[in-house]
Amino acid sequence: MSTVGRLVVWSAVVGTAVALALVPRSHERLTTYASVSPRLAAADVVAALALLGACVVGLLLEPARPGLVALALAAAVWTTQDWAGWYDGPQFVATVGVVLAPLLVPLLAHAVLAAARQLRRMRAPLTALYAGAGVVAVLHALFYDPFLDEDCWNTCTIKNVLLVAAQPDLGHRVAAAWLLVTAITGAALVGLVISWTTVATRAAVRLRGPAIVAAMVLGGVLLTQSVARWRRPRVDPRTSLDAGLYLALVVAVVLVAAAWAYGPLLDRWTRRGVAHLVRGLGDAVAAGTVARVIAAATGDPSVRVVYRLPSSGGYADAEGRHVDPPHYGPGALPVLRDGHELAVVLHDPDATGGDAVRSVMGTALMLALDNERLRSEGLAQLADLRASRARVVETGDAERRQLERNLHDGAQQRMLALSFDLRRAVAGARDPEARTVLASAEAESRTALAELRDLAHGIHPAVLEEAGLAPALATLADRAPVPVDVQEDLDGRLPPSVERTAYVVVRDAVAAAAADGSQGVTVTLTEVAGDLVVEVRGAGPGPFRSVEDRVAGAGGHVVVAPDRLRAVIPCAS
Amino acid sequence: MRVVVADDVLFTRAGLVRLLAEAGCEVVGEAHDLDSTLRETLVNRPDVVVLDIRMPPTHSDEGLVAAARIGADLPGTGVLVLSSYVEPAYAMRLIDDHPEGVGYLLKERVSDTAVLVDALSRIVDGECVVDPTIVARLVGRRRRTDPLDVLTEREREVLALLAEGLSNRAVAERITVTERTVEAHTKLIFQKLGLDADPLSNRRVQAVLAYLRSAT
Repeated sequence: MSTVGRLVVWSAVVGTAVALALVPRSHERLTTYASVSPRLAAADVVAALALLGACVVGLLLEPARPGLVALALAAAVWTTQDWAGWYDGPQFVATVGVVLAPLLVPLLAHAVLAAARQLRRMRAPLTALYAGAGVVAVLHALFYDPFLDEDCWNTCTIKNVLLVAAQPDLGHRVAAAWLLVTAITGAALVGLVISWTTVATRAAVRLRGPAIVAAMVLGGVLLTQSVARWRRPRVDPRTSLDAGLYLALVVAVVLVAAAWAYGPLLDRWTRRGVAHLVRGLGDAVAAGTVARVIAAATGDPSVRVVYRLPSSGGYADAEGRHVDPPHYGPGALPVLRDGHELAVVLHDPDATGGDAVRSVMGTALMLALDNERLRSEGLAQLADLRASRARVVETGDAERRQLERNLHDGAQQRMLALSFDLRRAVAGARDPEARTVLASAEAESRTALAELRDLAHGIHPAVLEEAGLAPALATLADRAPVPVDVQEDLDGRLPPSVERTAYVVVRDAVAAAAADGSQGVTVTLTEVAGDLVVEVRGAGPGPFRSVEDRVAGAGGHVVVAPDRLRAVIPCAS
Repeated sequence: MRVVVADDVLFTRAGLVRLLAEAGCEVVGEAHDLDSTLRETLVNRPDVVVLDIRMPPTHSDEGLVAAARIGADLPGTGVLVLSSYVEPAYAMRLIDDHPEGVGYLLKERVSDTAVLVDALSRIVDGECVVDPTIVARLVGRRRRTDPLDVLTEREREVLALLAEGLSNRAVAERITVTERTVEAHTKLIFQKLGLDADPLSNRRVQAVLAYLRSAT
């Protein structure tokens, strides 16, 4: 809070207290409500004390809270009615009392809107209301002569020290216009309350309940008062109508003060709750705890926390999953450190104000948030790395497949055509020597074809893609230099990447077994709980670095024992 | 003999057409993918369709798909699948889908006119033809305790020829013995391996291939 703001609040509080103490309330002349009866005099003091009390709560707990200045000024302005009726006091004081009186309406509206956490949204109409009250105050000061006011009651004996020229007609019109503005303000408050309550969540009710009641009562009182004044401009505090209206206004003021004070009190209570929740946060808290703590503290279950990833500039949730960048604005509170964004707290802007969220972000929660952010970043990087590794494997596979196709459709076909031609040339050759050379060339071409075929199969076995893992492994067993027994009980086809990974596991394990002089291997393929388990007995002890990399690339893992290798490959993508 | 030739690679198809012409066949239609193969076959009603296993649109197993469709729509039409893959799985699927008058040969095999003519005439006779390379690989496969060890050298030779789809008579001609001798060999082989002897050539081929594939 600025020094000026603090000064204003303190002087308003002190001024009000002084005014309360100094201004006489009880005398024979009818100049204020307080002078009518001890009951109304007590009500006058109760309202002022309620506003002062709320101010003290705000100053002690949260001096920066919006609405505190309005509340303090409302307390001061509340006492002006007593100044105006101070018929034997200084004329200047009475004049100021008369001039400032209209400001009570915007100040109370300001305080109740602040209590309802609706200031941001209602800034424009509130400013207009202040402006209207200001205009009325200025017109009063310059042109209002209480002597000429036929409806005067408390100010009839006052001399307006600021008067420039008495303008009774203007005064009437201003008074009528102000009544209209007051009525509209009252109606608008009632309307606002209705709009809030129709969309209220449990959290919103918890936050705004008192403010809703206060705004409803204040709106109703303002509206009723305007209507009553419209029908009978002259005030007579002795009538039960005017006395009742005054008491109603006192109730509204007390409610506004209480509703506003409820905000800092609730936040303090919440912070205590958060401190309690956060105290249990060690290093090993579950992901999402920060969001849960804020949600519990603010009562807004929609609270989410997204963490900024410094490496990519993107965002991730507590589990490290990438999320869309948040939309800044109401409902998105960035958490900064040294000007760098650490995280963004997303909340329901209608239920929870940014200030409510900010108020729970204590040191302990910031520590927890930092922990969670680091973990989220680590998890996101890990996920990126996994995805990138899977893509590398996938790309490699696709390239091998393409290479095999190119070989099959290109070199193999050319070589085939060549062997056809050579065969025909052999058949047609008359010269025995030429025939011998051609026959040899034809044999060479067939050897080349066989080698090309083996090469293509080694690069990528087409049967794996077209017929599946079992036939491909059967062919692998046919060609293997050691006996390979394949036992499989697979139900249909598996995802292509899983089949390719399993094939590579068996191929490399068999090759390693053959190199080790194994007597034979037994391959078993089983599906266990969504994983394909490939076990190659008789292969080992490794190392199987490329198999491990390949399986890890598919999100699985490899266990190598002295005589066997077991790969677990997840089938769900 | 009326033949339809299907291969998506133009110079391979041209080479096949020339080889078939030299082998005395009449090429009545040419095709380059699955649809045109089926169309040419329906229109020209050839005795045999010679087709590439891998053709558009997917370049995977169109030849096998075409063989199954031809077997279902025009029974009695022979199919010779030419392939670059030494894959028993494809040959076995082919025989499963189109049990009579079918053959699976490696492409380079047909450059030998005698082999081509022999295969085509056997297919027309309703027999099966399996490429010797495939059979040799199955027979020669590494096994821990080879059940084929109980067979004599001659019996193994006969078993391989049976797996290639040869009839008893054809086996007899190939190894220059009498048909009766082959029948005796066959009976003994099946007895030793515990297989049911089936007089039908294609079922016998299936049984032998399946046995060779599963024995470890």
